[in-house]
Amino acid sequence: MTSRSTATTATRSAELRCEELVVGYPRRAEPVLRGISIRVPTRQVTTVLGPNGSGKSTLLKSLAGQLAPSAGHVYLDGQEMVRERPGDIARKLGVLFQENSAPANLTVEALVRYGRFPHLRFLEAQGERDRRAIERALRLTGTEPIRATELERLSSGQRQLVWIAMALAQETRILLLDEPTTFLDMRHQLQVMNVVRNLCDEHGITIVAVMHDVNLAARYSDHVMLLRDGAVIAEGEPSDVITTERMRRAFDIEGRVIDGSGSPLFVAESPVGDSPRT
Amino acid sequence: MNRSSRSSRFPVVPALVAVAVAAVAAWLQIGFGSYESTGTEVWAALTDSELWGHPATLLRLVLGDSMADMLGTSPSRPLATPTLIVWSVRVPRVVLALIVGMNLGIAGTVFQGITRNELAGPYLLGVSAGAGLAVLIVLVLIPEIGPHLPLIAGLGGMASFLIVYGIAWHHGTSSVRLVLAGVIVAAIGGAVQTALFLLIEDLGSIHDAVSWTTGTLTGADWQRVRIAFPWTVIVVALALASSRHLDVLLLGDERARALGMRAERARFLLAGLAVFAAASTIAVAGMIAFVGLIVPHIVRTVVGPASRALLLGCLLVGPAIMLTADAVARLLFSPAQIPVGLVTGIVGGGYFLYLMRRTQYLIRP
Repeated sequence: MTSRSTATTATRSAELRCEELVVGYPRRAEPVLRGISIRVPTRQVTTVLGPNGSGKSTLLKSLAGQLAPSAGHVYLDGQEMVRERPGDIARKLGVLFQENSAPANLTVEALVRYGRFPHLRFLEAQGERDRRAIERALRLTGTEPIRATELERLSSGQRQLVWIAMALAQETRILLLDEPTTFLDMRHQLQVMNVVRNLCDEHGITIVAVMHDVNLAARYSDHVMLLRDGAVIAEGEPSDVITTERMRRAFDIEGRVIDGSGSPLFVAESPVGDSPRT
Repeated sequence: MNRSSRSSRFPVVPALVAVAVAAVAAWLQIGFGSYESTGTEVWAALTDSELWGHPATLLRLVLGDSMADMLGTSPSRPLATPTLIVWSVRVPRVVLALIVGMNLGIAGTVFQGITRNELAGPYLLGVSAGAGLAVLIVLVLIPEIGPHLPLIAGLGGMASFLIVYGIAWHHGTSSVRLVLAGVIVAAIGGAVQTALFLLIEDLGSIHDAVSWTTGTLTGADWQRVRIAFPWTVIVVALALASSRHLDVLLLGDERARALGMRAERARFLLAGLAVFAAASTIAVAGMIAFVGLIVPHIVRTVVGPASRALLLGCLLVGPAIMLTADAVARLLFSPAQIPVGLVTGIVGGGYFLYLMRRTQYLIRP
């Protein structure tokens, strides 16, 4: 890489971090996140792991600027998120939610086109740059062949790729994915994760993904964060984080770690204690 | 580079059908009525050179005396009776039906979008309750301001929309909360309306009140066209300009925010626009059932869910349906006329029956 391109990409690469982040919901007494401070590694794939209710999705939504923190700060490119205009955030950061809904008979391309919304001013028509971004998003996700298909005719795996394509059409440097593989079959899981890996490696996009499948996360990510009860109990490279002790602490399970050709594979064996934690 | 998408190609045939239906209905409305005349006479009246040859006369007819005086145009020339009937009674009724059809179609499209519910209509968010109540209050309690009834009906509709919004607000609104609040306000408003009905003593006022609450274009004149036209231009322009916002809102608030939209604000402004459209039709034609509901439905089956195409389609299909329904209302039992709201109610209900039998689900997730 030449020095010039490094300089331009360095200014373009967006940085996302939070400090002492506390987030709760109106009807819950206890906050879901209790003072989390993290820095998302730039141009890497980070996965967030943790049991149900540990605050993974809440963390992701807070980092996306979707939830106002009750205390603490989220910074995007050094700017405090709550002070940023929604449009400015949307040009830097794209999100894939766990649940997505769109009119059933909308075509793939029409949906992906909505990803250009943050780049267009009121009354401004889509131009050449927007068309290029849409084509690129379709290409990177392999959804070009189904571009004219209506959403209701797609499998859930294809649909997931289409929603990722929409976020890609936003042309953001950061992409946050909330359980991108959870309801997919194995083939589609691998397909989605390959797209994610490629976005990071070939296009320098910073990715944060909340995941349930520990082994899939270990295999595809550079960095892992382990959450429990609204706090980060470990973070680092997959092989450092996915250990028997840490998995016990996070998930209350006994198991063992075996070598899965380069990335750790965790085999869960039994739950710890008689009753599940509340 | 290939054209963006196959589905966005302009549907020529359905558009032509809508225009043809509207044209036929308009011709029926202009050609037939209690004052009988032949096709040639009607054509002669429509193309009367006394009008077209003297723009001042035409302007005075359309703009009204006061505005024509303000513009300083010369006084009218005397017109033949057929010309007078066609131009001061039948043509304005056609124009008004056109305007009302467009407004209702647009209001329906916007409401179906922001509530993400294909069964939403323009009167959903308390508009009908407020307008109806305002009309009855005027007729019963303060009949002396009767001449301002159109304006008051419109204002009543908008006021109750704000009440609905206030009720729905709880850390922001949501589609479901808005619909529920609309139902609450409609229920209470309806009850109070019925109570006021019981207080009306003379038959004339009851007749007026029923006309307002079922919707009618009887008595349409250029004056009403003048009331509704400017708002219609504004509503159409703003709705088309914000079609992209409507598209994104359809994906849900969370997604809309992630795309950089202030979802709450956009929803309020769009709802306000639709209420405005609905209120302006109430002001000139009362509450016409079902049109705002079925027009977007019909258009959607042709153009799909994209808002811009939907809104444009409503500009054609709304007038076609409104003109046809009004022709039926005016001519079916001629010389007696029935409120157009009765026709649209019966036909609209029938259309939904057909939809229910044909499709498994009315609302697509």
